[in-house]
Amino acid sequence: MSSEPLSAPVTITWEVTLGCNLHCDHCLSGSGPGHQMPNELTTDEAREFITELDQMDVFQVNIGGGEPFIRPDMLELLEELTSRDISTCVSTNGTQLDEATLDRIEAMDPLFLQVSMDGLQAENDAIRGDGVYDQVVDALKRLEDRDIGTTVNTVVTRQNVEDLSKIYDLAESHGAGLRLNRFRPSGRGEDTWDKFRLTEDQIRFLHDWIDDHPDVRTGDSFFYLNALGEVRNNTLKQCGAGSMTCLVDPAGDVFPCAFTQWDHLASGNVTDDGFQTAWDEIANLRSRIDDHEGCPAVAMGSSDPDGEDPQLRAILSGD
Amino acid sequence: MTTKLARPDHIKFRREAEGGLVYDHENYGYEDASMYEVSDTVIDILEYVDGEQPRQALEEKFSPAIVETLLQRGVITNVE
Repeated sequence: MSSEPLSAPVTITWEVTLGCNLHCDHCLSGSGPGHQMPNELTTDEAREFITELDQMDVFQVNIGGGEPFIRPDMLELLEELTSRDISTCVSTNGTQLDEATLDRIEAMDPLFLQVSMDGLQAENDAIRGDGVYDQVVDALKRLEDRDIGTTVNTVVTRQNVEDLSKIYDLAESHGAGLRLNRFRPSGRGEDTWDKFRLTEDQIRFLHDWIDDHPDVRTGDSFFYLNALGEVRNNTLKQCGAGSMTCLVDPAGDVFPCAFTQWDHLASGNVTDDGFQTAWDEIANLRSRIDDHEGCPAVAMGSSDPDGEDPQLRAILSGD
Repeated sequence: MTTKLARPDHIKFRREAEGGLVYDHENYGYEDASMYEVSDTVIDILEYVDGEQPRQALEEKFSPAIVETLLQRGVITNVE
């Protein structure tokens, strides 16, 4: 990349609420029922933020939460984004997609959905709640019927890693792609890090599996290694947090990424300071995070004594 | 018949302090996009296209080679 900071992020993640009808054990943002922040952006503030995103030429907005569709104005905000031709991706738990909601989603373009599924029925429901798996499968069927492009997202854990092929087949049977995300020690993941994180053998299994499934998306530097720890490309150290992307939390506070929402890495607020100002400030924060090889969020969140990403080190050096 | 060229809907771009960026949401999937750093000239061409332009005009203003390269990469496309 150029040495000059970008004038705006290429893509942002916008967590629109911490409210969620589920209470997942590994939730990166610690969301749950009634967890809405008292100062979450109002509809008017959110609309002003979208206007600034458009003015800054941000190409893509990834909506997360919490559960985005818990917000009563979510569809209205998605229409605002897509009407401005901003590529809009929504990560949902899949339980709030009633027919009326799908009617409006179907009319939006460019908009893409990602539905979370963290294992087959037993493993998924152990993390996400009883009955959730059946609701997600039902949602996948209805999304397929409407030909709404959908990706299944799985956070890879100690409990589900060996079922990845079955999850892949399930997604494929509904015309959906599979995307893997790394489990990280943020939100409730800090408390469940030792319960869900992969063992070294599982990390090697995962990298072999990804080698065999090149159509599975990852978007994570952790996955750019093969099972022997060899770097597949030169992007390993190119964490985009704070340089190509950033995170906006429900109150409008800006952080380098979804997994680094710590006070000392906050760079401003989209309402109080304006997003451009917050983005311009974020370059100053890069010096606090880019010493870490692999994922800085894992390095910092796991309190590794050497300040490293311990899982990355495990496959690089066998420690 | 005059051949016209246009920028596909899934291609977005913007100018930066040094050159610019081209974002290609080619596969229309969740976060399934590519992004390239490009020269000022590429941004100049994309700004010039602005809707659609005759291929001949683009080639005369820039060069046949760069127009062909951008066509091959899908950054601009023939208008049917």
